[in-house]
Amino acid sequence: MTISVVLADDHVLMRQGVSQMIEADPDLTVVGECGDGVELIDQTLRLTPDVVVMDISMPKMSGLVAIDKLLSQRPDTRILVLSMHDEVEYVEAMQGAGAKGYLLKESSGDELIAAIKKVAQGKTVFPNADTGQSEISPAARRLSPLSALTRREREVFFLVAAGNTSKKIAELLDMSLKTAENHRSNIYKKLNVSSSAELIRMAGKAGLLE
Amino acid sequence: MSNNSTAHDLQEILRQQALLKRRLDEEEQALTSLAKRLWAQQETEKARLSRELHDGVGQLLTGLTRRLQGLSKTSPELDELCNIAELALSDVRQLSRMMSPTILDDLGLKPAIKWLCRNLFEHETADIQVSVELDLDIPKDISILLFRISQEALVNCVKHSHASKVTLSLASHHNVIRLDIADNGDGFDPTSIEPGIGLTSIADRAKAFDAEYTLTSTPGKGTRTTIKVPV
Repeated sequence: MTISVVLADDHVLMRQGVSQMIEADPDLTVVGECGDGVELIDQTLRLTPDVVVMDISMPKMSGLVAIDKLLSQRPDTRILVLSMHDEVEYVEAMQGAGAKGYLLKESSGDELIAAIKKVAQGKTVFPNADTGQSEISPAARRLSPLSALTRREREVFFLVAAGNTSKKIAELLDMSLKTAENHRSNIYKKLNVSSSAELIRMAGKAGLLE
Repeated sequence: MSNNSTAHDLQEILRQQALLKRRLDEEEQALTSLAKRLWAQQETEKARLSRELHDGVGQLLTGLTRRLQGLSKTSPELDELCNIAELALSDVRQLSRMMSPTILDDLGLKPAIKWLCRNLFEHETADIQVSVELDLDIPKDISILLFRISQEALVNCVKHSHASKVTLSLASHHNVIRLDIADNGDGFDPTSIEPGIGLTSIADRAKAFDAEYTLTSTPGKGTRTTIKVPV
């Protein structure tokens, strides 16, 4: 049996792309497309699709309000949120509102199709807690040791890597010796090194030394 | 001179005073509404810049990062360039989000405050405790006011306080919302410093919304910002 989908996104190009991806799968069909929350409610109640695929930031009525209204009028609506926001607060809010799934727009077509099918079967699709915790993409975290550090820590990092003592760093950055030492020990902890020599070696390996 | 004319003069003075008082009130109201319009304009402008950063520079950096990712396997030098491009992209995104937090429009004040605290303290050593208990609908302009005041106070705290503990509590009671931000950091003597743009701006904004704003701080004993705003 074909799974029917109503698609809501105010970016027309995005919507067309997603629609094409869905239509390319023989098990899925797009029965309605719309660009705001008001139209979405109207179409969903009229077309009773198996799955609603929707964006959050939309004109006229935000996604959150739309989900609320939809579920109060048709409680068994299965909603998959397709969003550009990777923050955990978004995922939690949508889950709390009653969506059955949450997928990032940067996901592949295969992931989207799989998620729609799961949601249609009554299953839920949410990013797991440890990937949803942070905004730093796993790629960025893996590739640069500095992404785990705060801006201030990055400054201290480079001064340590250049061979400065905590006292000198405190002077250069106009902070107390205690603060400089705190920063230094936090950096060691975050980068999993135990001495400035190790830090310098690590920085060299990562190509961070001049 | 008769008593009559003195009484008449007195009445005239009182009449003029009442007139002046009314004019003053009107002027004050006009100023408040002008201030509110200015804040609203500033927010619109920030939102525009934020979108431009995100859609303009952000998109360019996304493109650059993707191309470098494709090439990075071929040489360690390209891999390093790729790292830098990714950092630049994440910084631009962060900047754009802080300038105009779409989360406030999308999800409302409570998730937006939690998001703000998580973002500012995620990589800090200080511990932050957040409690938000709101049982009434908050108008958008007041949401923005409370978000911006929280942002200013927390950024100051991260930058200057050296605190190990920070608390933020936001609660509503009988149509008054109370926001309280306190830290156990260095503190300062409020009489000895000239308030910067940030603090002045908080005070001005609070005034425009008839809110009561207090900042208390003692050297060595932390800082507390409190605001009570009627809804």
